[in-house]
Amino acid sequence: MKKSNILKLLFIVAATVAFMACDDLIQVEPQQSVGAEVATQSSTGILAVYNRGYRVQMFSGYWGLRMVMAGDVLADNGVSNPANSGRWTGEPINALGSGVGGWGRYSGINDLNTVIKHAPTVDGFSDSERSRILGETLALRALAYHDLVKVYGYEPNKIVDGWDRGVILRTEPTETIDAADFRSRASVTAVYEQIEADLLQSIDLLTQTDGNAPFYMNRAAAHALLARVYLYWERWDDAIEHATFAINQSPVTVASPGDVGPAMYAAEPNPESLFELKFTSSESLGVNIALSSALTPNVWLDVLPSDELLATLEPGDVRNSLYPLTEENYESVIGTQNEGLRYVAKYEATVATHTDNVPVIRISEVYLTRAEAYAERGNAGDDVLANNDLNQIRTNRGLAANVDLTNLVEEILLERRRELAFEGHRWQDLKRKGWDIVKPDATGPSPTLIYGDNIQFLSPLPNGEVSLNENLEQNPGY
Amino acid sequence: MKRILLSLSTFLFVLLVSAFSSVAVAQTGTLTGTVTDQSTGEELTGATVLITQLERGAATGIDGSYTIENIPVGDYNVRFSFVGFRTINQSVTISQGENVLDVEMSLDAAGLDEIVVSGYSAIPQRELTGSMTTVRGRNVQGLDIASPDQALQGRVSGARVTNLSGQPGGSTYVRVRGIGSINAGNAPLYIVDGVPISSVDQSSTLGSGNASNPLNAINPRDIQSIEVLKDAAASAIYGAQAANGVILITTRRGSAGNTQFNLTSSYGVAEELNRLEVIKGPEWVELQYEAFENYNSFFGANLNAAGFIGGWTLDDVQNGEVPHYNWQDAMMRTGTTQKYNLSASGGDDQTRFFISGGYNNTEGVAITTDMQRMNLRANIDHRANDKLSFDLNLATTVTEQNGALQEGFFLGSPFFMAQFIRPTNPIYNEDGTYATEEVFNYNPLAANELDDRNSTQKQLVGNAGAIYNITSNLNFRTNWGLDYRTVEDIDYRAPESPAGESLGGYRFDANRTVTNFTTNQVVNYYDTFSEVHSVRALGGFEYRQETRETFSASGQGFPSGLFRTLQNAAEPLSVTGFGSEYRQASFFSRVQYDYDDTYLTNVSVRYDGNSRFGEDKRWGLFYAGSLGWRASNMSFMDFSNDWLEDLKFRISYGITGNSAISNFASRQLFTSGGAYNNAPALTPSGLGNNLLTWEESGTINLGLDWAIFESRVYGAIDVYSRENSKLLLDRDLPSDSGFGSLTENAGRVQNQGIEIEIGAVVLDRAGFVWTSEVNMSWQRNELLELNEGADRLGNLFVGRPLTEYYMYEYAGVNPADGRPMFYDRNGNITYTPSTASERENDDRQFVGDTQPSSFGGWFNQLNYRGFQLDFLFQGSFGQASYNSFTGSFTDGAFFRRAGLIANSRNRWTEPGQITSVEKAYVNSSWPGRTGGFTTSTRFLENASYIRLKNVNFAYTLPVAVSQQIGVRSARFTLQATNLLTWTAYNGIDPEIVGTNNAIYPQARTLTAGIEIGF
Repeated sequence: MKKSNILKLLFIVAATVAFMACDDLIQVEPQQSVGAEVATQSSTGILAVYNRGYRVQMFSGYWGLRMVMAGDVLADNGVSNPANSGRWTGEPINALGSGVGGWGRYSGINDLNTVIKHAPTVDGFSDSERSRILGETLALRALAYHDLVKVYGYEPNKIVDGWDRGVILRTEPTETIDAADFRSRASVTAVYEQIEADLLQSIDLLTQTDGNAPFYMNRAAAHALLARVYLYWERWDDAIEHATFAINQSPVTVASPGDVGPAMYAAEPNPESLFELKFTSSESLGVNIALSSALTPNVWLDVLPSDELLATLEPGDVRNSLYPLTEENYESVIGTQNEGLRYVAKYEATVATHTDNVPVIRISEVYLTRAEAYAERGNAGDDVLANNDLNQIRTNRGLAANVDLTNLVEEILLERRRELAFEGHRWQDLKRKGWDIVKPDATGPSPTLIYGDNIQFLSPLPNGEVSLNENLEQNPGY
Repeated sequence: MKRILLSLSTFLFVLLVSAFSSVAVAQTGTLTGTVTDQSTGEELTGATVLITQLERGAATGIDGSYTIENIPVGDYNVRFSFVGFRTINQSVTISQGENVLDVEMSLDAAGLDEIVVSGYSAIPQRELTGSMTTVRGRNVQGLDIASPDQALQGRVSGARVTNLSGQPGGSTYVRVRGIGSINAGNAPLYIVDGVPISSVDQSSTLGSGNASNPLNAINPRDIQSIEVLKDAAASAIYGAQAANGVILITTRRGSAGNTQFNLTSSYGVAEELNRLEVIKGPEWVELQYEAFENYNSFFGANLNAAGFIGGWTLDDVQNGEVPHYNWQDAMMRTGTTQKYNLSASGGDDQTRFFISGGYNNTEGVAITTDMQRMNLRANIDHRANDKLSFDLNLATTVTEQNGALQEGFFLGSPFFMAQFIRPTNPIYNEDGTYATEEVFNYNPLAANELDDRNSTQKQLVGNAGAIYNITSNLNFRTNWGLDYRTVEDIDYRAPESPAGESLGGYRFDANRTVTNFTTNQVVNYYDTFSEVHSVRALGGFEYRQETRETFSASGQGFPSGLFRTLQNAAEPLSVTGFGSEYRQASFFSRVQYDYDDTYLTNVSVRYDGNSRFGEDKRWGLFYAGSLGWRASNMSFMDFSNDWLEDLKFRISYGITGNSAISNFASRQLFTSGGAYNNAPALTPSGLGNNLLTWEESGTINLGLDWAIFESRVYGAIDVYSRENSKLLLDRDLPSDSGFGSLTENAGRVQNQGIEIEIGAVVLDRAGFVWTSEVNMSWQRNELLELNEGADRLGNLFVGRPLTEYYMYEYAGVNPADGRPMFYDRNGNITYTPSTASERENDDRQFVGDTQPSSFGGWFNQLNYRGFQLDFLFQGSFGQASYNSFTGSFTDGAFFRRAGLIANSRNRWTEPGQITSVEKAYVNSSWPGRTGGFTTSTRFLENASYIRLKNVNFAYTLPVAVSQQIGVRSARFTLQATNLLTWTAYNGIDPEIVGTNNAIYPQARTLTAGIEIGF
């Protein structure tokens, strides 16, 4: 054989081998991620998605920031600091589009749905693990849907002009392109029914003794959440029943006066927490977004407690300590323009820099929920029961027990304002009662928001979603 | 992979064995002579003399002489070539003993005979049928630039080149023939001596505008040539990576002859291009009072400005007690540049080498910013025998950059804060410590001086190859290349600095590596039949694998700024890691057939497979065909033979691809979703798409090359239309599905343009030579199609350019009351313009394009005796830039009680006043209406400019003089960069792409240097 022929042959062989091997050659498996089949068909994968179910509650659009404080500024607890950083300027004047929002929550709901679909069948969980994971995740889904429906829809018994649209309901994970279909909004009642069903199933699956409270969903918290849902739904009997379950099963009690103050909010967990989101430094929302940046002089101090809120606190109320003067704790960093101001001391970056835990359900709320449900039901003797629950809070906050049984509902709502300020309740409380919102004087010449007239009571759906999905109806007026 | 390596190494072994089997013994002679410049009579140093049959040669020495020994007696063709001169082919008969051959070479500005690199092979420029532009190293080696891509600016038609940042060693924006992709990359493919360079931006610490430039590995001094491949005919051999154009960088090689050393040294200073005029302290206080007065009178309120602006009162202004502190002076400085290079090149018949080393130390015009770089290069060629030769190119670079603490609108950004900070705010306390900043408690000078933001890039680019000549017409080349880079980012905030104070000091370290391995095996064939049929063909296989790995860690809590390493951190914060990879395998071929140098045809094909794409669409075919017709060779053109050197028409069409997408874009994956309570979380990163594949680019190109008067005047015209299709676009999904979008192939974008290049030896008389090159490009861009049924994607609209601004039109200030006015969609005045998702309800309008409609350059070189003057004008026309930088210190700054610039003097103060600056006010907008600082055409400016980019004056000592002082040559240079700019743009530097976000502006530099050869 001639040399050139050998070369030719070799070349042909080399090229052929190369060609055949090429499909393998360009096969690469990712290192950062795993395929869907690995994640959803293994207990370790589902466990990680279950963790994600908690993680997504902590984003700035939800319980990391906006669910906690946007409503207080949209209502009457918070005002803009004249020396603000340009943030939080729309909410005080209820500028269109500055509502609480949170439509992005569906990404997290998809994670929750993934767990709820696969947890019952995936190998590798013990029965108790399986129940706990499923039960917690169902409660988280209920929380997410309730947060959505209370922002985007009216409450079932407070429908305005027949506008009964809730939010889109998805209870199955999106695993194929076809499943990402265009849906319309379910009625608020349908959404509430889904929330109720999730929580009832969750309560069945959960026990209070698995030791994960309050950083994970638990049976008392699920009862408390269900009581909150029934309160919004104005199903007083059910609210009373589940608030009572929550109180009876609660591992925590209402803090005594000496324990109330910034230290209570700095504690991990908050001694009153039934359910609290646990942040670590790696989940910090960062200097621009953190609750502590908006509320404390350490960073922007964009939002101040309104004079009207401070005025509700009598001199002996231990909750006055939650609104210290800026120079008391931040003398070295405040400029002259921020001297002499009171600020909210519930989130002072106590976990880590720009990082605080967020209590989502506290036992005080549950007492006030039951108090309101008693007062609203109005059966014989309910007023005394309601007043007893109200005084659970008052007497633990340095106030005298209430003895006047008239206007109890207003008194309870006032107590909620004092107790739950900057914890995500004020705006929703006024809205679910159908009350008008009287804006603080410091907000400037802004009108009172009339329930039923002002469109701002409902947040607008993202425009992009509405124009993309023909079946999706925008809220009235937007 | 293993199988291939095995078979290839066997193959190589066989080649090696057969290569050493030939031995030659014969009678020999010597060829010697002198090469001179026809127009000046001067001896030419460094011209190449090559005996083509033997592929043996020599370079002329300092006196223009050359000697080639041991030539077997016989008839040979000898080729004399030298860059810038017409190549001479001469027949010679070598007899035993000495044979003398002297030649005179004449200028060849057009470079028709020069060899250009065109992808896996090199061919004479005259045979080209594709559209490409060559930048010769000799024109750019001496430029005061940091990386070779900057050399393209103003010198290549069709390539928009913009310096993105004045950070020493910052990166460059290069777009060849417009923008064809929305979501995949738009940067061209860079190939250095056959090794593709990963374009992955590396440093996160230094920010996007400053990201370490991968081309920092190439010392501009080492460049032989840069070829920019523009149309499909030129680039299709690179297949799925070629859609954005391909830039081939070839480095210098040694030539046989005495070893020549070159030492260059330069020193330069850099100054800011210009500054915004800041309102001084007393006037600033008055303006703040005016703003508060306006607020108070509107609300009937009684806010006292003094409480908001550090206590200054109007009385203080009256009494002259309000100080002014010049923060611009504090944050900026005069920069310096030092560069030293030493190279040696030479060799003999068998081995040639080029070795160079460079050191560059540049201090930027912003405090604490600098770059230090060391380059080493060794390019070695060795001819083992007639059949086999090897080559090795190896370049290593260490670049260390210190950046400003931040760029953009941030407290740590000197470019922003120099204006933003109150002019009444002291810089230092009386005791010399840093003064407190009154608004944010953040002294930017302290932050920049105490903190570090540092990136060190260590890079190795190299390749080893061998060529085996199977026959004299057929060779096989194997090439193994590596582009390996590590980037070490450090972000340190001292516990004493305002950025680190709240954390007790902070440090973030990131270590990133890119390993980019390439090998290709190419068979090249060349032959001419019957003297008129010329065939060139090549075929090959290429494999590329790019692995990226990153890991980073951070910690906080340092005892003091003296402790800087992570080990000293009291509290570890986070550790993260990242790894990703892609692989590509390709088969390619190109066949060129020319008839009589007159009819030229060329076909290239590439079959690419890439792991990035969907399982069902992993392999793709790319191709191009082109035809050329040299009309000047036709007999009917004989009338022009006296003056027409060349007239060639070209046409090409082809399909290339754009594979610059993320590595696993097609896969349905669950990816890290953070953690809850320290337990790791997973979340689906997207819905998979098995059909996802490359973007496709189809280009048709018509070209005309011409040269007249013995190539003293020459040029090219190209007209192209490029349509990019199958664009990677995100189809919106309803977000309630859990996913915002799905990436799919849809949509089309068109780029069209005309490019003209003209060059000439304008004057060549009595030793005075003036050469000049002009290029000009016109381009337009249109989005033709989006996802099915969509005519809009965000602010991109079908029928409009991709890079257009879409914003409100500003109507100035109402002369009656100082309110800012806008035009609504119907052209009526409004105070509250609104956006809407439907175009017809949206008040925003199409108001300008970030891409220029035309750009070009004009390069000149004047030589007289030893003097040489180079100057380059460069310009860009029709592009708009949103100048929010200037805007943020006009009225928008009032609401933060921040620094103001001279623009604020134009604010509305009294009824009837016509101005564009609204009434002073303490917030960004008055209740119930839109503020003037809202994004609108108010700050949108025409950023067209013409710039005297570079002037370089050099004097070379006469040979006689330099020899007297014992050196081969000596040259002195004086160079200025960004010397003069003509523009209407109000920002600091119009050389910008898009919005002016307080980036690090370029500087004006003046450099003196010396070059010594010995």
